Amino acid sequence: MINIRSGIFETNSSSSHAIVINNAGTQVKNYNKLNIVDGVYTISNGLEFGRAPFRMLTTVSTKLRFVIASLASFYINGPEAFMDELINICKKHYPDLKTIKLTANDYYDGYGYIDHQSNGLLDKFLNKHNISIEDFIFDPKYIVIIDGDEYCEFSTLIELNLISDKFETED
Amino acid sequence: MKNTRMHHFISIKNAPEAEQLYKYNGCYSIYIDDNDYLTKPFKVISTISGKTTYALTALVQYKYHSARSQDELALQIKHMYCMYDHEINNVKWHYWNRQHKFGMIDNENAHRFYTYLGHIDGNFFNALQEFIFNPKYIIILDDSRGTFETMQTLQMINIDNITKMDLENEHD
Repeated sequence: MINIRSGIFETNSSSSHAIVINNAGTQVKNYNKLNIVDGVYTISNGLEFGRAPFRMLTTVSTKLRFVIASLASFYINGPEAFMDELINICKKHYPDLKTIKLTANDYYDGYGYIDHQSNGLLDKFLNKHNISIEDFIFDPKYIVIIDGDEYCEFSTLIELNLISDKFETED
Repeated sequence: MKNTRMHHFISIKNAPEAEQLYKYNGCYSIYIDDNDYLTKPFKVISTISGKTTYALTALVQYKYHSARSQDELALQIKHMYCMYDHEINNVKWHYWNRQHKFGMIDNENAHRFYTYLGHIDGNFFNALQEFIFNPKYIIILDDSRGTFETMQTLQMINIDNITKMDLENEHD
C-alpha cells in the first residue's frame, strides 16, 4: 500500500467531486481494459478533473488517471516514485505491462489536475476506509463522480431520489 | 439507436414539492439562453425555468417556426405562469443570443418531445402546462459518453421510485 501524507488536502469547501461505493455488485463492460502496446500503457489525455463536464469514472483506465492526478504530485517521495509504485501495482494485473508513459505534459506538472475544491477527496476516502490504491482502482465498486458545484447534477439526482440506496456517496 | 444524444423523460412517482418562483413587482423573468442541446453535456433539467427553456427550444424547432406562432406560444406560457402563481402578472423574456434566440436542438428529440406532450394530455397547451409545472416531469440529457446508460447498466437509477419513459421506442 502506498502511504500518502495524511491531512494535507483537507478543505472546508464542499466538494464538486464524489466517490460512490456501489453495493449493487454491478460493473461496466470492459472494466479492466487497458490498451497496452508493446508493454507500454500511454496516458496522453484525460488527466484533468475539473468542475465540468459531468462524468462518472467507472473503469480502471479512468480511475487510474484520477489516482495519478489526485496523488502523484503530493507523494512524499515525489511523483516519479509514485508512478514506479503504481506501475508495480498494475503489473500484478497486467502481466504484459512494463511501464506507464505519461505524455499529457500540458497539465501543470504533467501529472494531471484536480479541481481545487476536490483536492484531497481521494486521500481522505482511502484513509477513512483503509482502502489501498490497488483496491480502489481494481475493485469496480468504487466509482468517482466528476461534477461542479455550479451544476450539481449528481446531487440533483440524489435530491430527486433517482439514485439507488445501494450506492453510498461521499463528498 | 439513431443518434448519440438521447433525451430521457422520467416521471417520478413520489413527486417533489412544488417550486417557488421568484418575481419582482409581479414580473417573472425567463432567461432564454443560447442553450445548445446538441452538444450539452450530461444534465438534469428539473426546474420550471429549465423545462420552459427546453420546451420552447424543442417546440420552436419542431413546429413553431413563424414569429407569429412563437408569440402565441410565449403568450400561452405567460398565462401558465400567471395561473401557477397568482402573484405573477407579467412575464418578461430575456434572450441572451439574438441569432439563435431559442437555442439549438436536433429534430429527432424535438419531435420526440412534441410526441410526448400528446401522451400527457390530448390538449396541447394543457400538456405543455402539465409538463412544465408538474415537478414529477424531469428531463435527463445524456451525453455522448452515455453516462445515463451507464447509470442504468450499473443499476444506479432508483427504478423503484421512478417510471422511466424512454420515447425512443415510442417514436420508432
